[in-house]
Amino acid sequence: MPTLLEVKGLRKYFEVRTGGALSRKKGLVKAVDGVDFSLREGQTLSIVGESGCGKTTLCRVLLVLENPTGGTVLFKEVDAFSLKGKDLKRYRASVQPVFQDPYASLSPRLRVGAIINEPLEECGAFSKDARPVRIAAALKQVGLSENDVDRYPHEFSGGQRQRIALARALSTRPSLMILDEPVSALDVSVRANVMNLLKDLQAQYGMAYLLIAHDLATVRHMSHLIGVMYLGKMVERAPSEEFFSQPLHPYGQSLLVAAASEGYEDSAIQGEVPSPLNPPPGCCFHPRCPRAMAVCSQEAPSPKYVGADHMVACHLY
Amino acid sequence: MVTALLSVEELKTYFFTRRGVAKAVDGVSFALRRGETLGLVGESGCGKSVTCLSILRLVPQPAGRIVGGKILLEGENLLEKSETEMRRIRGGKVAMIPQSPMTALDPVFSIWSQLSETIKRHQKMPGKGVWETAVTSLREVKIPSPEVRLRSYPHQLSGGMRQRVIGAMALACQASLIIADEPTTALDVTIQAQYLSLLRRMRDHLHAGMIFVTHDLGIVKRMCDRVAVMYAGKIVEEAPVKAIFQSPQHPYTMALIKSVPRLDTKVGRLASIEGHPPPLFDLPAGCAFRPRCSEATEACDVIPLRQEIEQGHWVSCHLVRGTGDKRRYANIA
Repeated sequence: MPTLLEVKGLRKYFEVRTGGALSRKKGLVKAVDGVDFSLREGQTLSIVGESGCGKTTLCRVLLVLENPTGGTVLFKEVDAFSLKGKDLKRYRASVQPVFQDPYASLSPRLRVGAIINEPLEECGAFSKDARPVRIAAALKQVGLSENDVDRYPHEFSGGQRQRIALARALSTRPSLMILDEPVSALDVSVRANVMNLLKDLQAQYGMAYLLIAHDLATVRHMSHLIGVMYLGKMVERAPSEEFFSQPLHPYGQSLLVAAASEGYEDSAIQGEVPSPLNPPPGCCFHPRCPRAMAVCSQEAPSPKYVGADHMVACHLY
Repeated sequence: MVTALLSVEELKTYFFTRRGVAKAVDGVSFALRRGETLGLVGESGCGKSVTCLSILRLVPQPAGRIVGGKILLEGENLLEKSETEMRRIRGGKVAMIPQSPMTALDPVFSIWSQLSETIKRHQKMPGKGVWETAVTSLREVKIPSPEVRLRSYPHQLSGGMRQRVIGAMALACQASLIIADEPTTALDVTIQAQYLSLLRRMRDHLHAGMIFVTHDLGIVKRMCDRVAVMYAGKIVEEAPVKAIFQSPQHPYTMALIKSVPRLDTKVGRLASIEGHPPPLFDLPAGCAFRPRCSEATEACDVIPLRQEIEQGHWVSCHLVRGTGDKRRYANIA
């Protein structure tokens, strides 16, 4: 499968005021700080990490909702940030987001047909006559009926709403979908349904997924590749099965332990993510790392490859 | 037989609305001993939270009413208590860990004023004693330099610390029953693990009973001693946690377990439960799970009785008959 997305050295920094609303002191939050990865057609890359690690900013940059501070994103070998006008609209049509909460992401005042019509109209690739056909097709793809176009979101259950959100994303025939916690707002028994649907759609249309989820069991079930982020940096990247059987970075290991630990022991890492305004020097994970060495507080580790596809940024390797 | 800390018998909480009567909790019975954690699992709207609110007598008025049953806490029926007596029990003997501990603290009051308010309401002690109790309980939940932290305001504390302050409130008042209603939903795995181990430590320290409401079966496995699976206002299966995962008997329990992806191995396609839970206004006659059950028979027209198939393992399903005829579904979990 050809490479769809190539992200190199992507950085997004935010300037923030520190010390009160009137203060002139400026701080820099490195929300995404040098992230590399590539994604092939039909693959799912999951980004895992705690709140504030930069997952959402990464998504926003990929959707060109934020301009990056540095780095490149090549989508089908074209630089995504050089796109303007029609080309940008076409890019947005092929990179579609699905959000966490289908109760918030669908306008309650629009009928389902109008909701799905919006991206179709906006991307400019479909004529007025072609749109109703696309809408009906998208609804069918997610297992809803074409008669649902005249209904309102409140008439649907949570799982069905997430299907509508999926249909909206699918309508423009994207080749990459950015899924930000697509099942965590749904009921347990419905999650399986939506996850199965996502996998079926991928198998059928060869879309790539960039998935953000905090439930590691969901991540394992859905993904081919895993990227672990901590304070804006990607600290480990590996094929899914390799990561779950043998995580290398101490942070990746602690995430797995935290998700799997049984019984009383306090085996999970302690403490919380430090403030991104003032990240620790050296390797930013060293204050919480159970295996920290002297070098870790002085020098930031550079990414190393252990095995063909297994990247880890840690002084242990 | 150790006497139960809490015993709920045939609890019925109905909501009387314009659309009809919603039987949110419809004949729920369970018992909880000290030092034990009971997991309450099920889909949204199955009555987990209403069961908890009924124990606290905080069912939304006037639509909601407890229409029948008994709630015995240390032998005393909470349903016969006056509102004044209930106020003493809430936050005292019974502590509630809210769904989002991050927002449960009032931002305009210091930690000290919120913690001392709870302590003073439930325990008679001199001012100095209140301070000492507050400091000890904060230390108990591993908050560094508690004397300083007591003067802080919630926004000056990190999310994890705010959660621990909520825990400290339950500790300070020597709660004997802790009700935790989905306390870890949407937390990061690391923070979740820290919080779960704090809750376990609290339970052991107070030798309290804990009701743990969740829909995450992975957490049930880690936290609970026994599990009650609820569906449409009824407990359909109740068993020790091991039995629930190794040999679930009710078709709903089995479906629930099979629909969840696993962390330890890669599973193929997930089994999904088709359909939706029935509307509580209009429950089907007979077993409420019948419309979604793949094994339903004509017998299911009648509401199944609760039967004990093994010590401590109750099931309400016509497919399960007595101890001799127990079905075994090994290796599902």
